[in-house]
Amino acid sequence: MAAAKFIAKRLAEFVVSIAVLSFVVFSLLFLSPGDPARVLVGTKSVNPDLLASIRAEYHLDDPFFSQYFRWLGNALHGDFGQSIKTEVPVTEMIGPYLKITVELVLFSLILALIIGLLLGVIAAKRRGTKLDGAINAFALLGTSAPSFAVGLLLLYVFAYLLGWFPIYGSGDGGFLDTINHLTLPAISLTFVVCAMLIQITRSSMLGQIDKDYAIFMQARGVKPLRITTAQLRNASGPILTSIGLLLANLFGATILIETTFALPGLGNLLASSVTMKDVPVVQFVTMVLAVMICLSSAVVDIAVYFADPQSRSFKRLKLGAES
Amino acid sequence: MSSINVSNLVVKINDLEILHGVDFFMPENTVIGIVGESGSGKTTFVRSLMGILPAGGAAAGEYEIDGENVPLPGDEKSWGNVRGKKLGLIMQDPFTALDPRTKCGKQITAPLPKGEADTFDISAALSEVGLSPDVANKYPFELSGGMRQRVVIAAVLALNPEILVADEATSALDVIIQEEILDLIVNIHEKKNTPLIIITHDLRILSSRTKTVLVFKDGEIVERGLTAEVISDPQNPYTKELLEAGKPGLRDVRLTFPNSKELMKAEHLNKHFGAQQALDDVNIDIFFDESVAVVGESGSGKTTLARTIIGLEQADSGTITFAKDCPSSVQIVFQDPYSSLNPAMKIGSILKEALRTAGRPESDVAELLEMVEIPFDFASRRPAQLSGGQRQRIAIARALATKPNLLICDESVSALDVIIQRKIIDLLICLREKEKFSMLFISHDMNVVRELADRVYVMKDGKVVEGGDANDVWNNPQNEYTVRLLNARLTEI
Repeated sequence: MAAAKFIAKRLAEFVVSIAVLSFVVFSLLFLSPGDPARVLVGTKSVNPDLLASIRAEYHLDDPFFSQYFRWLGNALHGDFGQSIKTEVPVTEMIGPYLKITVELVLFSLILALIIGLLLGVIAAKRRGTKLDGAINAFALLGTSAPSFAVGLLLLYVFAYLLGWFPIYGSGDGGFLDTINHLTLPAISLTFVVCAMLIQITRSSMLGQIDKDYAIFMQARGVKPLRITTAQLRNASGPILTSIGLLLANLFGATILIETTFALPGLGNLLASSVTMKDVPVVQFVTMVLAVMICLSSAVVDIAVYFADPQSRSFKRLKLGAES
Repeated sequence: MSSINVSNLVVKINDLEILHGVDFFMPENTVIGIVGESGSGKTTFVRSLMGILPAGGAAAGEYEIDGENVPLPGDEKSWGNVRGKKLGLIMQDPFTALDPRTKCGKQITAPLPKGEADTFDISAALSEVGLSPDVANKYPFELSGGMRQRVVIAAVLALNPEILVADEATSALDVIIQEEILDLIVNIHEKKNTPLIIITHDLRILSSRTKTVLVFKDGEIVERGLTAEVISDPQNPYTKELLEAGKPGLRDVRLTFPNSKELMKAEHLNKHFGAQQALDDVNIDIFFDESVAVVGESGSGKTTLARTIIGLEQADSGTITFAKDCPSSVQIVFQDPYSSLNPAMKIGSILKEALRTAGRPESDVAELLEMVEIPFDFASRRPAQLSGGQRQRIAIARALATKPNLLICDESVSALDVIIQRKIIDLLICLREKEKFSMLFISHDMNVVRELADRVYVMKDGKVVEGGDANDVWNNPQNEYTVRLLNARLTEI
C-alpha cells in the first residue's frame, strides 16, 4: 500500500534527523570553549577534587563516541541528567516551561492561520486592486520586521500607553488570564509567520484563480464562496507544507519573544541556561525543540499526502506516459 | 424552447477590444456552429453571454434571452439566472474542467440549492450520459478523458439548461471517443429540443452536426449562413482559406524516393509502467528517406515508442539498432509549441545552443531561420512573442540544426489551428525533400498521417495491430480497429 509505505518512509526520515540532531546537541558540550568539566561545574567554586569527581561522574575521560552512546542510551531511557544549577533532573523541571511555549506557539499558529489564510485568499481574489496592494505591503512589513522589535512596539503601545494587556509574566494559570498574558507575545510572533502565510496563500491561490474547473463552476452558477473553497483545497499543498516551516520558525522565535515579554517558557529557560552554562538543560531543551520541529514537519508532510486524493489512492494510474 | 438575440456586442479585456460589435440571433431548436481560429473571439463570445469573462473583461451591447433583457455587463445577481440555467456550457478540456479534489457526484450537484442537492438523483443523471452510478464516488483522475467529459455533460444537464453550448467539447479527446461524445450531445439536443451551439475548429464536425454556421475572425463574424451552403460556396476569403486548409490532402503518397537501406530497426520492444504495458512486443523499421507514421489513440503506446527510440525512455526489453555507417542522430519535435521552448531564452540563443551541440558555427542561425521561413529579426525575440505556428517552426529548426537522420514528430501539428497546421505540414513536406531526412510521425489524426506518411503502423494498447504501405492501409484496412479509426475521421466535407 502506497500510503503505508509513504508514512513509514517519512517516519524513518524523522528518526534519522533526530539521531543526527542528538549527535550535534551532545557535541555542544565539547564545542563550548574550555574544559568540559569546568563547564559542568557551573558557577560553583572550582577545586581539583570536584573536577575529578565530575570527570568520573560524566565519564569525561572516555573516548568521545563512547560518551555519546552512553548519553544517548540514557536519553532513550528518559535520563538527560541533572540541571547543574538546581540539581533537579532536567526532565522533571521542564513541564511548566514547555506548557507555556506550546500554548504560545499554538495560539500564534491559530492566529496566523486565521489572518494569513483570510488575507491571502482575499488578496488573490482581488489581485491587482488597492486592497491586494495593501495586503501585500502589510505582508512585506511583516517579513522584514524582527519579531522582538514588533514585541517591544506592542508592549509600549498596548501595555504601557493603553494598559490593555499586562506587561510581563504568564499569569495565574487560568484560561482567560493565560490568554490575556499571551495575547501580545502571540501577536508579535504571529506577525512574522502570518506575513509568510499571506504570501504563500496568495501565490498558490493565484495559480488556481483562472483554472478551468473554477470557470466551469462559475458557468454553472456555483456560489462564489464554494468556488473559493474548492480553489483553496486545490492550493492547499504549498500552504500545508509552509505550515511545517512556520512551526519551526515559531519555535525558534519564541526564544526572543519569551525574553522580551519575560515569559517563563522553554525559550527563556534556554537563554538563561546558556548564560549559566547549564549544559544538561541546554541539551534537553534543544532536543525537545528539535523533536517538536521535526515532528510537526513530518505530520505536515503526511497531511499534504492525504489531502491529495490522487496520492491517497493505492492504484497509482500511470497516465503521464502518454498524452 | 429558447432563443438568443444579441446586437452590437462589444467585449473589452483590459481596454483591448476582443469583439467588435457582434450581432447574433439564435432561433429556437437549432444547431449553430461557430468556427474560427484560436484568438478569433469565439470562446470570448460565448463566455460573454454567460458573464464569465476573465478579470478585466467587460461586455456591452444589447442581449436578450427569450425576449427578456439581460443587462450588460451585469452583476453576480443578474447572471445568477443565466449561468447554468439559461445557458449550459460544456467546456473543452475534460482533464482540467473538473475539480481534481472533489468526487464527481458532489461536483454535479454543486450548483444546486442545499435541499435540491440532497434529493437529486445522481444515478439517473449519470446513466443519462452513459455512466454507471459508482462514478459519483470517484475522483476525476480515476476516469478516462471520455468519461470525464460525460461527467462534465451530466454536471451541465443537472441544471436543465435551456440552451447548450459545446466549446470545442471534443477536441481534447481521441477520434473514436469524439464521435461518441458528439452523438451524446446531439442526442440530448434532439431529445430535449435544447438549442445547441457547437464551437469547433473541425470542419468535419461542422458539416456533419450543424445546420447554420458563423465564421469568426479577429473578433467579428465574417460569414454566416446554412452550413451546407457556406461549405460548398464560401463567400469570404478567410472562409475559403479555412475550408481549403481543412480538406484532407489528396497528394500521391511516396513522393520521396524509395530507398531499400534500413536506417533504424526496433525489435521486440517491451515497456511497462506499473501494471500497464505501454509497449507490447513492438517491431518497427524505418528506411532512409522514408516517412513512417504511427497512429493510435492516447494510451496506445505511440508516444512511449517515440520516446524510447530517442532514448528518453528505456525499454524493459528489446533492441533498437541504427544503420552501421550512420551515426544515430535522432531529433524530436514535441506536440505543444507553448511549452517546448525555454521561455527565458531568445530564439537566437535557442538555435545557437542546438548548433553548438551539433558542432556547427553559431552563424548558421540565419540559415536555420530561413529554412523554416521565419524572418531573421525574430532571433532577438523570446518565445512568448511568437504565435503557436511560429514557435513550432522554431522547434523544427532547432531539431534540424543537428542535421539528423531521423526526425520524430510527436503530434507536432495537433495543437495548432487548421490553417497553421496546413502550413506546418507543407513545411515538413518541403523540408524533407530538401534536407533528406527520415521521419517518424506520431499522430492520432488519419488525415495528417495520410499526407505525410509513406508507411503506417497502427497501434492499440501497446501493440502494433496493423502496418504497411500508407495507401494500402488507407484504402484497404485489414484490422477492425483501423477501420474504426478511419471511419471516425473520414467523413468527407
